[in-house]
Amino acid sequence: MEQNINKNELPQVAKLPGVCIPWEEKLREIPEISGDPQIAKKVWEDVDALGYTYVWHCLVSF
Amino acid sequence: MTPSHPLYDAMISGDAEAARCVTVRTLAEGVAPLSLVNDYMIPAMEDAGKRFAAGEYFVPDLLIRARAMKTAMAILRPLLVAAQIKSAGRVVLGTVNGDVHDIGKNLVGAMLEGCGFEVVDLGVNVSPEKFIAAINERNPHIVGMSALLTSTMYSMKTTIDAMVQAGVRDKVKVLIGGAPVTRQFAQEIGADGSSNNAVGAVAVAKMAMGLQIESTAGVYWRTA
Amino acid sequence: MTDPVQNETVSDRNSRLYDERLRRYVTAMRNGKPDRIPMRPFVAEFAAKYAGYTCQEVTHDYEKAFAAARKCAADFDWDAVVGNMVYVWTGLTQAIGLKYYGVPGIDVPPDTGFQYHEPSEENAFMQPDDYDALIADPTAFLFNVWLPRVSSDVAPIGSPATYRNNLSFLKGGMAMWNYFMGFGRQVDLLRTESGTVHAISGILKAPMDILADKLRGYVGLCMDLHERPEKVRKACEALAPHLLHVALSGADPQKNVPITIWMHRGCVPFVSYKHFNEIYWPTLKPIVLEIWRRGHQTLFYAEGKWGAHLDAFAELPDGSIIYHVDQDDVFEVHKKIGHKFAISGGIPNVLLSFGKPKEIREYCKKVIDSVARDGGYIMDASAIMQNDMSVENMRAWTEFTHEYGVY
Repeated sequence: MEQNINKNELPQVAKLPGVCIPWEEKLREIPEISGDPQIAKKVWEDVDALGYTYVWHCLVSF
Repeated sequence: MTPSHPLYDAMISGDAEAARCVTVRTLAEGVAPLSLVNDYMIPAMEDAGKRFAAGEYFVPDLLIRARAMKTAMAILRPLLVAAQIKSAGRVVLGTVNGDVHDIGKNLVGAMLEGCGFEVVDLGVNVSPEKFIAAINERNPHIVGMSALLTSTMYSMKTTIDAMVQAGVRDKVKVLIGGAPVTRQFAQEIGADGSSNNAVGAVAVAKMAMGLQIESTAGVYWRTA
Repeated sequence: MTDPVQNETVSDRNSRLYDERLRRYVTAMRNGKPDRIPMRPFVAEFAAKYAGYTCQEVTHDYEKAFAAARKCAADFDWDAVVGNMVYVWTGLTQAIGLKYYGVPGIDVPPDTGFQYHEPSEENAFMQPDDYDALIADPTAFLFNVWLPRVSSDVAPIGSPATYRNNLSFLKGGMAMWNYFMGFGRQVDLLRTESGTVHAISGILKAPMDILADKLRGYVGLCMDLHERPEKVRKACEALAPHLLHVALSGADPQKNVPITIWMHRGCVPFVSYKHFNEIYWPTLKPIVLEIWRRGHQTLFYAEGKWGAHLDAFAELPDGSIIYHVDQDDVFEVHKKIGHKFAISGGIPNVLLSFGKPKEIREYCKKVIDSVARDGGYIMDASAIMQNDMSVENMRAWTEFTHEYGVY
């Protein structure tokens, strides 16, 4: 295989279905949420799921 | 009777590394290459074929044995060629024009090789012109064509027609195979024989060479 | 079809037809007896041929593929079809640079359907020592290891970012979005233009099939089953919850039409009974049970011969699946599991493509008389229909099913 990758260097992503980067991980990058955290969480998760859909449909459908 | 030899055992257990080691060691002990092929390798592949036909073995069982066989054969073939040992027959093999499926074709190639044939594999999506060129250049006894799809199987007919046009059809026996291939289809397009599985492919290739076979199950062979 | 209603507008007619067809199709899938046998032909490149397109045109331009499927749906009185059974769109696959396609007009002749090109064992997209990474985190593995290997453009992790890498994600993501939106419109158009039901919704693959198809390759999988069966089992277990998630995310919210599983490598003779019983089925069955628990049926599109595994499928709850017959003996399948599940297909493609209309009628009569007698049967070919299918035979087959399939 032409691409030998050191597996230790791989970015860690969540193991849960539907998730690429969990909200909890993103939350650690945000200093403070003054507004409603649920709004921020929902939007993050909805859009994150699109990334998940992309790669899994590449595998399963195409 | 089951031969008792570590090469036979390595083939049966599908242990490619053991097959390689035993082959090297046995040759160093002075055993003739042809005797390794005839006494242990062919019986092991034929045993696998019989078990497959009986429903006891599955394709993975054939593949792992074929891999062990190929490992040993890679060492033995140059020696057999140097000693001008004749194979059971020379087969030109390919998946026909428009079809890129090769698992079945590769398995057929491996089984033929394991049963003493010389195989020239032309790959996939092989045009009639390439088959004809291979007939002229390699002088095979048999041309084997494979297709997986009903939409590509008529490329077999196109190829046979082109062989007739080029005046080479009668130089070879034409055998066809693949999931959709039936006896009726083989007759219709003027093939000499067919089979829908890799073990049957060996049987029909042997028939084409006038060799004896034990079972004709799943095999079509044109009778004059 | 019921008698035409006087003074009915086209829109009312299509709406009425849709309701009738949906009821007929769903009733049969629930193993019930509708007014007549529903017909649901999975027409792929046949639709292109019928509408006057080449395989290249429908594979490269999904609007043509959609138009072809709608033309078939409008001209033939079928109950349900798939919006685009060719399903692959090269706009998307080329945006990502996917290496495993044999593309019509590029890798295969323009009038041959697209095919999957499986790499050799040594060039498999996943190697034996990748199992642990896949098992630990399948999504990460797909993004970081698999995608760079199956794509000509995606750069491996750790290598410099490239223009082609960045573009592949942008174009690939937007192309996929476009195509899925287009599919949504197609479902609506089938309903409004011809009153035809979209036959399926949601895609499933068995964990071991996906491992063979897209990761290790079939030959690689065979070697693994021999040398590292435990890794294979663990990989299948790791893939299973994700495959369930993907299947459910595409499921019909109305719970009418089934999620389809395209099954191939678990059958005879591709894996042994032992490997089916110890890996293939135990990692697939829980997915199907969970889909059923959520209220959806699964259409088992059982490519190849699965007759030896019917007892395993019979462990599933009554009505949880529709069993599609490819190379199995449809009469035997009906005897064995017809009391539990509806059955579809079983009409050989070779007969439909190259047989005479009379032979097709005779064979279908036999199937209808024995398999469909008490309902629970959906008329379809054994496999998807490509451009070898004859238009004349398609007409004869459809007409006969309508005439003789009335209960």
